[in-house]
This record gives sequence, C-alpha cells and structure tokens, in this order.
Amino acid sequence: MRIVPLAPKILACRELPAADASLLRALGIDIDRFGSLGLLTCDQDDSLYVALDHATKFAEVEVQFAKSFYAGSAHASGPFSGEILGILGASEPDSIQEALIAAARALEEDICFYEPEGGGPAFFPHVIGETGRYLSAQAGIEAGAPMGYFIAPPIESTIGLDAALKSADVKLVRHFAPPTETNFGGGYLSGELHALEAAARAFTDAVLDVADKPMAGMRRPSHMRW
Amino acid sequence: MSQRRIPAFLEDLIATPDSKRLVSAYDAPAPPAHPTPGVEAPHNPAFLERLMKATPSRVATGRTGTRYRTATYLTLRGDHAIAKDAVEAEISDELAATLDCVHVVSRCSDRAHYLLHPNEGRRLSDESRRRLEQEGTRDVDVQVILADGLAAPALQINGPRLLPALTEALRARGISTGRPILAKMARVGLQDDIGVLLGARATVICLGERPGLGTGDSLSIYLAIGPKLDQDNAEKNCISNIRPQGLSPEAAADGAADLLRRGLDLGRGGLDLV
Amino acid sequence: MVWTQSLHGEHFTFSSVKQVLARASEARSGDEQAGVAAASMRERAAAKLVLAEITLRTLRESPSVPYEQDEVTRVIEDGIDDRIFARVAGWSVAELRNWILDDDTSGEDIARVGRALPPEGVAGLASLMSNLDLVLAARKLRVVVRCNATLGLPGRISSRLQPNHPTDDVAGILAAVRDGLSFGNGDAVIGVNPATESVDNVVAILRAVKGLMRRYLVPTQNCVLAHVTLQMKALERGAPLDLMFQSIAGSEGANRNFGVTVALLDEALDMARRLGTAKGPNVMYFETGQGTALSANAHHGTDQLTMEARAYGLARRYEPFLLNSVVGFIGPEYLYDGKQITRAGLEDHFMGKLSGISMGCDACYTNHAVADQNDQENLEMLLAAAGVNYLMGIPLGDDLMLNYNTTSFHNNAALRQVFGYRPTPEFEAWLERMGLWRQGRLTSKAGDPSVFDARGLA
Repeated sequence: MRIVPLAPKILACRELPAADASLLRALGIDIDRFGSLGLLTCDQDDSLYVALDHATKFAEVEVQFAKSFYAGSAHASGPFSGEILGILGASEPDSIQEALIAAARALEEDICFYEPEGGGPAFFPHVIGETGRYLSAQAGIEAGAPMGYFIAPPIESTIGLDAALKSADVKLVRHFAPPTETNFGGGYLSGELHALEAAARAFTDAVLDVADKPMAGMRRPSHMRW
Repeated sequence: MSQRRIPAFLEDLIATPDSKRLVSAYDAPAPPAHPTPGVEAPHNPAFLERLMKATPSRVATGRTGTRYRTATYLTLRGDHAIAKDAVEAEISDELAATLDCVHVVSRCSDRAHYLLHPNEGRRLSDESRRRLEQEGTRDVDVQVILADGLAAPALQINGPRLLPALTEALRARGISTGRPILAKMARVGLQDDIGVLLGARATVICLGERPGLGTGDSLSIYLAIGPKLDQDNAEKNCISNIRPQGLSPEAAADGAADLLRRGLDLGRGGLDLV
Repeated sequence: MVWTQSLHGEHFTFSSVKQVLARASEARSGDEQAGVAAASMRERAAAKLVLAEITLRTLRESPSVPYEQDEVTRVIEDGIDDRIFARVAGWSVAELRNWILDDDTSGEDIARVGRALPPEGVAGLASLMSNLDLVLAARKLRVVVRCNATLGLPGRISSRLQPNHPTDDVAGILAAVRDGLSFGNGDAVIGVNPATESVDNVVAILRAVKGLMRRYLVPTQNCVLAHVTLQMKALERGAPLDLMFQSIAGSEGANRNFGVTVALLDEALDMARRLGTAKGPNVMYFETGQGTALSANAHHGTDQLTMEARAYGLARRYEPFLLNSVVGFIGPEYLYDGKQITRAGLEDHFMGKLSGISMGCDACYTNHAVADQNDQENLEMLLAAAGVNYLMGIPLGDDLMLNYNTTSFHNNAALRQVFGYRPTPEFEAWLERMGLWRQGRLTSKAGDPSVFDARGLA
C-alpha cells in the first residue's frame, strides 16, 4: 500500500509586537521576557506542535501557548481556526519574524501527516532529529535529543505504538490515550535517532496493516463453542 | 522554491503517479544511484546520510590523508571525460535526418574554431545564408531553431521531444512557425542573424548548455522578440535546465510558447515579460 | 610616440604605449580575439624590449582610457601620491623589475611604492616577468587585512568555502559548509553564489550561514555573491552581512555592464561599514577576471592584462578584505588552455599584491577549455608558493551551480600539508577547539561533516 503526504496549511499568521500587558498576564506569559508574540493557526495540530518546537532552535523564542481544538479541522469554528492555535513569545519582534519563517519553512518541507493512497486513516509517524526547547520539555528529555512523535486514530495508534515499541530500542515517554481533543491517540518516544526511525517505519507499517485488514481480529476460533 | 522532503524510512512507500514521472519517458541514462558516504567511522552516521541527501554536491566522500580516495578520483576523471566529450561532440547525422529542418552552419570551420571565436558562431556561413534564402520560411511569427551550442548531446537527448512539443504549443496559441532550422556550431546570437534574414517577428533557439562534470544533457531556450543583430541578452528571455532530471520538454515548450505569445502581443521581450 | 625595435635584423614598429603593452603581453586567446596580440613570437619579444625602456612617467601619462572619458582612470590617477611617484617616475620598467627582484629590496620597500604605480606600469612590469619571477616577487609582498579574522599573515593560506546549491536550498548549502569546515576550509569567507538573485534569497542565505557561524562560534565572515544592490537591500532589512561583494572590471563601460559605478561602490562600502556585522575595517570582496572588459566590448583596444591591472587600481580605493580573479571561468576564447590560465593566475596574483590588495585566486577551468584537473592543481601549487592569501574551496572542486571546476576542500588541506602552511590564527585556534587540528595538521576527525551535529541545527 502506498502513501501520500498531506501538506499542512497555515490558516492565519499574525504578530503582536507589543502585546497588551493584561492580555499577556491572562495568558500566563511573563511580560518582562516575552512582550512580542507571534500567533499561528494550522489545519494539522501535531504538525504545528513540531513546527513551534523547531522554531525555538532558530530564534530566541519560547512557546507560550499551544492548544488543539475539539473534533479537529473538520469541525473548525471558522475559516482561519483549523485545529490548533500556537503562540510564540520573544523579547523583540525580529525574533518572532525569524521564528515564524522557520516554522513556515519546516511545515512546507519537513512536517506532515500521511494517508494511504486512495484514502484511509491519516497518521503522523514523525521523527525529530534534534528537539528544540519546547517538545523536549514536554517529553521530559534533554533539549537537542532526538524524539519520536507518533499519532494516528484510536485503534491504529494503539496497534501502531505496540509495533513501534517492539521494533527497536525506544521508550514511550509520554502516552496520549485516545481520544485527544481531535480524537486521535499516540505518544512521544525517546531513543537513538536510527532506532526512532526504525520505530517510525514500524508504526507506519502497522497503521497501514490496520487500514488494509481492519477486521483481522474477527477470526473464527479453531474450536467453536457455539 | 522549496520541496517537501520525505524521510528516508518512508521513501519506498510514497505513491508516484506514472503520468508525472519524467524519467521513464526518456531514452536517457538512469540517474546515478545515491552515493554512499566515504567517511570512515563517522561521528553521526544518520546525520551524515541526511547531509548527503540535502545536496547534490560531492560532500562526505572521505579521504586518504588529504587526498581523494582512488575510487573518488577515478569517478571525477570519468565525469570530466563525459563533459569534455559533450563539448567536443557534434550533431549526429541520424538526428539531422530525423528532424525535418533546414540545415545551416555558422561561420566556424570546426569545433575548435567554434570554441575560440564566439563572434563567428553568431553569424551564418555564406552558403547557409543562401540556403535559407531559398528554403527558409519568410515572415513567420516565430522561427524555431535547434542547435548544438556547447553540448550537442543535449540536443540529441531532448530535441526529438522538444521540437514537436514546441511546434504544437505555438500552433495552439495561434503562432505561425514555418520550417524549423537545425544549426551547427551555433552561439545564442545566431538567432539574431537568422531572424533578421528571414524577417521573423521573433526567434527561439534551443541549444546545449556548457556542461558541468558528468553532465552534457542540459538544454536552454532563448527567446528574442523583434530580432536585431547582437541583441542584448537583457532583452531576451531564457528557460534553462531542460533535461531528464530537470525541466521536461513539454513544460519548457509550454513556458516558451506562453512567453512568446505575451512578447508578440507586447512587441518586446526581456524583463517586461516576467 | 613611435618606437622601432629590431630583432635579429627584423624591424618592428609600435605606434602607441597601448600597442607596446598589448604586443608585449604573453600569448592569450582574448588578445587574439581582440586583434591586439603580437602577430608572432618575434614581435612579442621585440615589444618586450621596447617596453623595458619605457619610463613609469610615460606609462602614467598614457592611461588606457582618457581621464575625461572614464571614471576608473580618474579614481586611479587621483589616488596616486605624487610625492611617492616622483621617486620612481624616471625608472624604466626594466629598472623596476630589477629593483623588485633584488634581495636587498624588502616587501615593505615595494609596498611603499606599489600603491603609487599606475596600472599600465603594473601590467607592463608583469609582462617582463617569468612565472618564477612572479612567484618570488609576490612572495615578498605580504598584504594583511582584518574583517572578523586576520588574513594574509606569513606562513598561512586560507580559503573561501563556496557551498553553492543548484536551487539555493539552505539545508543543502549548510551541508556543504559543514563538509568544508571539517577540512579546515572557510577561514577567508563562507561565500555563496545564489542560483536565484532576489533580496529574499540573499537575506535567507546570509541568515542561515550566520546562524551556523554563531552556533559553532566560527571565526570567519559570511557573504552572498548577488548584485551589490541586492546585498544593500538585504542590509536594510537587517540581514547579518560581514562582507559586501561585487564583480568589477577595469573600465567604466565594463563596470556599467555589471550595473556598477564608483558612486554605487562608495555607497556600498559606507553601508557595509555602518550596517554590516563585521569588526572590519576591511569589509569589501571583489571578483575580477582577465577578459571581462573585452566581453563587455568596453576594453578600448587594450589588452586584457592591462585592463585587469586597472580593476585592481579601482579596487584599492575600497581597501578590500578579499579580491580574487576568477581566472579560468570566462572561457577558452579569453584564456584558451591550462598554460594560459596558469600564466594569468600568476600575473593577476602578483599585480594585485603589488597594488596593495589582499589577493586570492579562483584557480579554475570550465569544461570547454583545454584544461584538466592536473593543470588546475599546478596553478594552485604555484599560487601557494607565491603566498596567495586564499583559494576557493568546493566539494571535490565540482561546482554544480556554476558548472565549473576549481580548488577542492581536499586540495586546500593538501596545500597546507605540502607547504607547512596554517589557517588564519583565529580559525586555527577554533579548529583546535573543535578537535579537527593539532600541531599544524588535521586530526583523524577531519573530513567528517557530521561532527557538526550539535544541538539546535537543521
């Protein structure tokens, strides 16, 4: 079974070079260190989480806010909502600019969901070579260490994680039991880069296998009781 | 223009619709297999692989002392030979026979002379001039010219597809073309001499680009609206990198025909068209 | 003025200084194309005999393009210190050559006079020098300059790391940068030729290279070799730029062909000093090449060696950190084969150093010239012997964007090994900290770009 990439789309991108102090406080943002904000919405939440993390490697910014929306892009509240709002904070607008460009570039080139050719479950078998400051903290690993970020719909993600964990020397450092806000499931994995890549492939193969044979669990037992 | 990078562990799963595969339709040699790193005991093998995939430059080839490994050196020599042979090559008789064109040559006597005298490559020989006066089509919208330029193999490989694609693309846009011309030992500026002689409103010349190492298959198209002798390059438009691993002849033909249509309507070419 | 010279019973007549210079110049295809070259080796030898007796005063009074017609002539002529020139005005070119090669004449002695020589004199002098003369004399002429690092000190040779990518892909560019740094290349500059000339592209590449330099604290300079106006716009946008680049030539007409004037270069220098990120004070980077003026049809009947010397006369107004001719790039119709390319490279280097310029060289060839890698390596070795400040550095010498062949990362390392040379002092210290260099040579870690895999990089 072949797969096709699903390109993420940034739906809106705005800046607040000098955000209002009470708004910053309401968002829980340290006004002394992060007076400039960059905001992004995207139609793929996990892709944006990775892009935000990537941006922290390119500029003096930190992720201040990143939340997924219920039921995902298919049920978006408006044309520019997508399924996630991410907010980056910095002490100066130039850093925000650099960060937004880095995030956009990463989404264009390196980060996306996939789905089987001809349609099927969308999944995210993503490996990050060097984490930034955001996801490493979320995963409880050292900044700069590699990380696996595997997401799929509920049953696919469960079968997928099982295959991934058995395929290579990797550890599940955080699990997202389904349903997440967007009704998916998955987790963060740690390990050496080559092991994570092997695990990502195993995750992919397992997801595709579920898509190919979704009812493989309904077997007639060898010994029927009734 | 950035393109999505597919991670190595997913590459073989990616669907590639056949109609978009450029390489399969060509009778051109298959692209070289991705080189393996020559660095012994690299610090970070996975990262090294990514670095090598990030660029076609010959990075991470390894070394023996401060010199190339023998295999690397011999590959380089082989690639230089390909490039040199491409420069020295001439348009084959078979190609000349299969393409229904008027055959002309510049004022250069041979390839060596051609390489040393660019000005001579920009003018028709007396005999070719006479032949065009008799056999060429006058006063067309666009005169199509195929030429060797600095790499005849580029024409061998791309020409047979480019000529019909270009003729058709021009016809579809209501542009008259007449009989195409095949020119030997031609520089870009030969299109000016031909255009003025035949009274064409515009000319398009397709010729081989100066080869890099291991290549010699890349063609460029130059369009000139309102031909005049020794027209400035800034007044012309160029589409380059037409080759099996680059732009397809069909895409180039469409692009060229669009520019020519706009140029003919506007009455001039160059920066105003882009 | 008219000169006649007889050689073994044959008489030759020369009707102008320009003609003497052109006929005396070593054989090269560009001069033949321009119709100014000597018709035979005998005529060339006769012209050299005539040139040897011409004084520097006569040469200064015979600029290739009249003062009123050409701003390059004006810049050069107005920049000559008359008191210094007065000391040598009466010397013949032969006397100048003898003095320069004399053991009792030091580099400092020559440097004091060099800046006051007219380019016609510099070119004429080069025509009377053999290849070994050019190497030996250049070796005496140290030109030390400072940007973020110090270039041109004795016993050192540096390189421009040229990480070009056919579509300007930033990750691809940085991959080649890592490869070059791991071989100890890049201490003169990390300089990228963009495939697409646009301000966005210039900004993106400057930022990306500077980003890598900052992360690893690499003591070098960044540069993007787009048209100078695009770099100026990039600076206005706040892009980090150490060196400001432009191609220049020896006549006003040839520079106009590049879209360049003296006023524009003055403005560029000012912007680079005010808004650039380098410590300086030397912040300009020029490229030149024999045959440039002829290809723009702006050579005014002058031979290409003299035109090249004039380009250096213009360049020294800006006290560049780097200047290199791109000797074999222009094509066989200007420099036909390895022999002519080699001669031109040595001439350019000597003339540049004599003019007081921090001179490097792109010792290269295209695939349609009669040259190969052996010829190219010969020139590298001769230039290294001559004390060239820097050469280019490219993966395996194969530039896929510009389709030509030049010095490789390996070759720059090998030249250091052969001659016992080292990088700039700042870069050497950095290479040692990175574990790539120890006691004057590369360590076993060198040549592995993956050593630059530290945190926070794409």
